Amino acid sequence: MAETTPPAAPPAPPASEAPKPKPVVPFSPVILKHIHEPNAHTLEHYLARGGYETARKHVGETDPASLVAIVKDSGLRGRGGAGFPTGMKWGFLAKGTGKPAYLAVNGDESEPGTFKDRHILEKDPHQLLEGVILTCWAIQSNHAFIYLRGEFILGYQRLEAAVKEARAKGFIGEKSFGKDFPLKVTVVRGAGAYICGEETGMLSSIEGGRGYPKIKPPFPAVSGLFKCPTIVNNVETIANVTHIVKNGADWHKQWGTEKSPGYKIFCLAGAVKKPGVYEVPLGITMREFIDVYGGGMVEGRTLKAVIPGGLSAPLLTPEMVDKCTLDYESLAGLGSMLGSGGITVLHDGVDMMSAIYNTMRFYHHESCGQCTPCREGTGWLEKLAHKHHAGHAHAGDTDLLADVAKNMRGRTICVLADAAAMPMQSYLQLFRPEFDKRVAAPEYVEKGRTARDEITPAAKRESVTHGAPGVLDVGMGMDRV
Amino acid sequence: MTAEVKMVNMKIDGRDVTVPADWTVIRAAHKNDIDIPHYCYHPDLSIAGNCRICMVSVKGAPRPVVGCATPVAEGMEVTTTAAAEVEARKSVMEFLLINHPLDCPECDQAGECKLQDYSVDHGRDHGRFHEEKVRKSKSTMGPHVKYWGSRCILCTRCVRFTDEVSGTGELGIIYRGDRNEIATFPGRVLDNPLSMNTVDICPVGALVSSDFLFQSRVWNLHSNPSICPGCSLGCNTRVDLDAKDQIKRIVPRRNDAVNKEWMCDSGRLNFGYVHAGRLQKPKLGGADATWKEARRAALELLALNGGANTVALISAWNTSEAMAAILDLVAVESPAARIFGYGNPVVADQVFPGFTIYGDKNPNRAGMEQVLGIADPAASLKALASETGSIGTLLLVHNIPDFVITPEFKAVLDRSENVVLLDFASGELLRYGNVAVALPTLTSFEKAGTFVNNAGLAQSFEPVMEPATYGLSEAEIVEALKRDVGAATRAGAAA
Amino acid sequence: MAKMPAKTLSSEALRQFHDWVDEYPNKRSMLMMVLRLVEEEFGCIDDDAMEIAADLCGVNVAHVQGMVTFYTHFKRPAHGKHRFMVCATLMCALDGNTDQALAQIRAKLGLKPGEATPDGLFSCEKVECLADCDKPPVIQKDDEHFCSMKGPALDAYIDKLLTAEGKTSEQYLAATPVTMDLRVAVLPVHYNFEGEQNVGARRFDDKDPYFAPGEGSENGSARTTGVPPALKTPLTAPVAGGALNPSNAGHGANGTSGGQHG
Ligand SMILES: Cc1cc2nc3c(=O)[nH]c(=O)nc-3n(C[C@H](O)[C@H](O)[C@H](O)COP(=O)(O)O)c2cc1C
Ligand code: SF4
Ligand code: SF4
Ligand code: SF4
Ligand code: FES
Repeated sequence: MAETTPPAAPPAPPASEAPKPKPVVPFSPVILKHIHEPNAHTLEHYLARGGYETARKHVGETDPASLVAIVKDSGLRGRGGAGFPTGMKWGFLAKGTGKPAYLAVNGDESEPGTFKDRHILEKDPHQLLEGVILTCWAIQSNHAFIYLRGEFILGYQRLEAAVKEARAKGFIGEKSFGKDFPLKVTVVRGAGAYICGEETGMLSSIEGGRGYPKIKPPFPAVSGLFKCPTIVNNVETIANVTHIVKNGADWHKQWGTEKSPGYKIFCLAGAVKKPGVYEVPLGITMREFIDVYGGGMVEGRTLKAVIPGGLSAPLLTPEMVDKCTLDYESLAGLGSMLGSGGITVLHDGVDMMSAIYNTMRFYHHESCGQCTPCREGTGWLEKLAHKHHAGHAHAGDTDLLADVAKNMRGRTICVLADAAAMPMQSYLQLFRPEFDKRVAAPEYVEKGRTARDEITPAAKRESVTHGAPGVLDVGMGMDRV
Repeated sequence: MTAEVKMVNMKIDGRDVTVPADWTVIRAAHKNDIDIPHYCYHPDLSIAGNCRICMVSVKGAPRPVVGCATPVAEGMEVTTTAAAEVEARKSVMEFLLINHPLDCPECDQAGECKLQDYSVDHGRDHGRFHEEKVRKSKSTMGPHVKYWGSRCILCTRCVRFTDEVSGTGELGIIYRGDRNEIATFPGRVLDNPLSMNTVDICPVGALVSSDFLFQSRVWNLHSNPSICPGCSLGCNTRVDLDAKDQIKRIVPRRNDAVNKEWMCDSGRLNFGYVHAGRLQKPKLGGADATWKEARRAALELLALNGGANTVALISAWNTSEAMAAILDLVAVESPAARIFGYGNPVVADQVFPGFTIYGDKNPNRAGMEQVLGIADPAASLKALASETGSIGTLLLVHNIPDFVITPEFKAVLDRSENVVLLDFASGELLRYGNVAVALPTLTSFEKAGTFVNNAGLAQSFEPVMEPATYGLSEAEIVEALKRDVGAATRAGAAA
Repeated sequence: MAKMPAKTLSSEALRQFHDWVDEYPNKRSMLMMVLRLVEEEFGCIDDDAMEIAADLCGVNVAHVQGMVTFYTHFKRPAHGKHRFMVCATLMCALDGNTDQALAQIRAKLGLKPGEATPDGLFSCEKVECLADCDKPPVIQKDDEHFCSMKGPALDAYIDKLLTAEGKTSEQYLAATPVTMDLRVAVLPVHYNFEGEQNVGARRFDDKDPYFAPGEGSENGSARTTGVPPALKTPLTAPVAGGALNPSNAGHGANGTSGGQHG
């Protein structure tokens, strides 16, 4: 299906930029290399391109600690969102507890704007499996869970088939690769809950519960799945392991920056000519990514803002986009984050009030409802955003938005509350005039309903209240159909 | 087993405290009388850490943390009243109230509601939420418990209770986010012998007792501590009474050595006998009599032949003091009398993961063993019942509400020529023709006394209310009888 | 008290379950997959299915109910046989893609989001991000996944379903759709509050600021307040040259395939 050949090497950075310390090494996709080939998901295809050789070579042979050392040395950082160094995380795994260790692979891919794991799962599941086997050997775990979001139906079928094939071949089982290394790989399906992407929420779900995140500490590496030491990694992170073990840490470090070595899959959506998934070396400029890979803005539109790392990431304005390179530090420096690598381009016609209302609705819908600030705050933010969107906010409501968002941050069990507050704070910071334009009514004079009744005619009053799931659809869309 | 508990030294609000190393900050603070507000934390349940009101600052941490889930550590310095945590608490309080109906005037919890308490201390003075509130359902959870969804703050205490203490698991959280509610599965109800504890632990008025619903406002009640006589556990209770000294409800009082903070539903609800069906006055041959007449008749019957054919039959519902008084009386008045015990039949214990309701439905069996030397009341009654021949006078010290007369018990009654009954109820026993004298006594709510529970713990209690009848405690009755004897002896000597 | 579920699992499903028993560390952790199993077995998860799942996994049925109502992807009895899930998250909703798909579904089936046809064959709902954001709008119909699903492709697909069911679009446009009620069922009447003999105990608070049944919306259903007025500002200003982001636009260079999965 590949219509175009990938650009062989990213064009040289604009002349005005300071020369990079590292020589530019030509890069071609590693993880996505085969996804366009028909039958890339089959075992034959994978074996034909040298699949499972790395695992066969190391499982039962190589000292696990040396594998951890290679991954640590490669500087691989988690691709799920937080960007935590993977080797370091593996090093934290509690040892000598007398309990089994687990690997839990996070294939929930629920961060809006992210659609990279889908391609690995659907088109190259064996690549993931080999990574799982190597990781399990490295952390000496005998049981891996792969948690897929429930909506990944083809992905589930293909991964499940791949696990069966690998089992039949003896790659996983009582004696993986004929070595004394029992390994089970279990695929678990989610069922439509963003919060199950949060690592401890996912663990709760695998344990057979509502996807409630757990209080940290203790971190999963100490007490995770079934209260046993557990390593949680994203699908893309694990898929990287095979390549790093096979080619070495230095191979991985030849791309990327000092602190963000390697390459990463970015998902491009929104107002560009060629949206899609692109695997690129870390550290390329955002402009290059949008203009060269994404083919530039759609005709007749200019760039208004970019959501750089999934819906939760604070926005970038065009000026910030110009300064931005695709690595963890650059985005952090701009007050945003690389996150899951889901880049969405908003064009000049996008009504920011619609966008923020839609965003807030997402978090309101997805908050698990455990902690008070998030449960109540996400709903409040949505209701206030809705008032701005519909154009009858009261004076003071915009400041209230800022205050509610501030009050939600850092006070909850997981960071979903922060993930909801961050975009709100960034919209307020960058697009405050658009909020102010929607203020149509004077400030509330008195607390309570009476005051509102006086100011807003009852007919104009409306609700985005969700009484129960049966009515969740009230306020679900950008526009009411 | 009893390994040395490791202790740590820490500072809370500048005070040095030493607590076991496996404690949390909130427990350490509460132990040292430093209040940290909390909703979801309950000392006898697992930690949920979801309400986020218990914020404290730990020196070195970038932002406030929840005290209920933060373990203590050596050298830790905690503040509970600094600006950061006060601000955090204030915002949590605001979030808690935005979807709350604020219907305190018609809420049963008003006056003992933790939302009211903390919003005074931590809330803001005006509301900033003008949007539509989330609508929730209300439902009847079971025979004793109702649910007002809109008031629920989703602390999950009730769910954890049914999971961890009663183990019955009837309650679950349904839906997601701010639509969350507590619910049972359709057709299954919250119907277990411990169900009403969920009402106590609900920090707000979301779970309310159907039996107490709209009965009184709590600020019109006064409370006194007591001990439940319902079984051999002896739960520590608090009895709430209205201005007319009518018992309105009974709730558990914390005692970690006995009942933690739980009690069973029947223990709470079984107080109707205090206010109805009482023996108001002494009776002589079925007719009302004065205390003096009744006492004289009783003395005559007890003293027959120095008590050679007299039997004292004492129930295990009596206080240790009552038993001792009867012993005293018998020693003076009928030294030849024999003493037997009886009680409610013992049924199987009801064992729950976090609580046991004992099948021994007698509050003072252990006391009976201590005072009367009767370890097994049932065996004692059986021994008496298996005898033949008539009993001249039966001194029956009863005081058991809702007693079911067994064939053995009936056999003993039938063999007795005269019965002197000490009881607080005018029940079935009174209708036995051979009850010659009936002296009204008091329930355990109206007198002081001691019950020794099944673990051998002697628990004394004081009266919670004024006597509802002309009854007297056993000790008072015995004292009066002994005074009568003394008067008679003096009169005899004078003659 | 605990009534026996009217349904039973097929032997294949039971065999699958027993395979899992060896796989998982404990029974409770099989719950997600067991719920999928009963969903597939019975077509949706109703009360009986929950009881069976609870039984298989050794958990309380109240907990299972909590699971089923927490996760929104499980199919419930209120959903239609053909369940349209239209992604409404920002990336899909941009440029009116979601709205267009919803409008097409409404034009064909007369369904607004949250509604089902009275015969229970079709239902429509908005869902959150389906992770295929480069090809909006994304629609999932039960187990089938579609990207760039609007315009003729969507119409043709709905027509195909209608034909297969022997129905016509006109039939549904003439009928009044029903609001999907995904709430937990009411308790038996004898568990009502006093004096509420016919209401069913699980009901909405009727005190201000709450609504009594029948109040608060035009069509008399208790649970929604009025639909807000049309937007003052349209989401996107119209552009010369028609639709943005046409579905045949070239997709990613080392990127994705277009069109339909699965
Ligand atoms: C609200 C929330 C949603 C998340 N969603 C995902 C997700 O969909 N996929 C994912 O891999 N990580 C997700 N994460 C990140 C995980 O918590 C975790 O950091 C990650 O799986 C760790 O893997 P990594 O180290 O390989 O990145 C999410 C985090 C939060 C707070
Ligand atoms: S922050 Fe929100 S999503 Fe996370 S645990 Fe708390 S309520 Fe749930
Ligand atoms: S009903 Fe009460 S105890 Fe239960 S979750 Fe709600 S507030 Fe907490
Ligand atoms: S358990 Fe026994 S002592 Fe405790 S409340 Fe119940 S009957 Fe009374
Ligand atoms: S008491 Fe600590 S979070 Fe609730």
